[in-house]
Amino acid sequence: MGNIIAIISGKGGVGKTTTTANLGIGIALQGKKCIILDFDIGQRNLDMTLGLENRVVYNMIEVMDGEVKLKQALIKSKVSSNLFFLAASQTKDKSVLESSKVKNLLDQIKDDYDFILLDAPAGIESGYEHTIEFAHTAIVVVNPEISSIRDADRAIGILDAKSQRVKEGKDIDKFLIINRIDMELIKQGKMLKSRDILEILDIKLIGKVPEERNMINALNRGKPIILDRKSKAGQAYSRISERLLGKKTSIIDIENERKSIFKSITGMFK
Amino acid sequence: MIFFWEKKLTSADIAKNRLKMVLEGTSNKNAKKLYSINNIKENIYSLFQKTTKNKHS
Repeated sequence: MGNIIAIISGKGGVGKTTTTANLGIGIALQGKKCIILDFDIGQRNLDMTLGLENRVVYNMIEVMDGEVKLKQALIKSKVSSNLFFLAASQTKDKSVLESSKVKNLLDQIKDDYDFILLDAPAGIESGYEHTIEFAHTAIVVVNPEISSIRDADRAIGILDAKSQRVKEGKDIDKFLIINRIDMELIKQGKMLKSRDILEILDIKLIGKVPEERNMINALNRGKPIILDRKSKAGQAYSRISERLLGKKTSIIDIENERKSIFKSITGMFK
Repeated sequence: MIFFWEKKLTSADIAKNRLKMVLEGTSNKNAKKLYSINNIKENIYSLFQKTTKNKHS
């Protein structure tokens, strides 16, 4: 049975969809079969992030309602034959989701894939609750800023109260990704450090992703940053994927990374 | 006035303190602590009940 992972944050705009797309590709490129489901009903963006918007014909809600078969709605990624995608509906809203329908869909999928990634909507309403309900693992994405951390804390609380696994007396694995870390701001004491965020949220860190100017370019082109081997953020996502697969890849302390002498000298002339 | 031996707070320090303040009592971390304390209490209580029952029987 595949590992059902919900990617959550509480607050919108922290990089959930970007993280989902990059981790999906990272997992697939390492030879594991992965499917990404967009649970952001009515506001789908994952199709564009993955560069697959022109191939969406049917969506997840139509599969849930039995209007089309799962195979008809599945989209195979251009990047890897191990990666599949199921788009959210753009015309309906989150209220169409029902527990029984979500469970039926996951039951159809879970034995055919190693990893099932669910991209949660922002907020903590019903759409969020349906995303976390049947998940085995949750990845919490935060930015090093107060509103993101406060909202993440609330989302974790709801996860612990409403997840099916918790209700059955089992544990739900929770991991934290700190996204958009700006090393310069941290050095200047203007941005919260990972250590402080971990102390407040008290969940296990699985990765740190640096802020990167090229991210917008990757989104514009529909080519997730993980495909850019030179990108630090891409490399960070790649390492997180390895950790999800159980590999013991160490977490690079990007906050205290020292610049090479060459970079320091060239930086002086910028 | 800040004396030379006092550390000047950075804006990140201020953010951390404010977060701790707003999450005090309501945070998930505190809920977990409370849950484990309640669990310990319940365990002690059931152990106490068992031992007293044994004495009576």
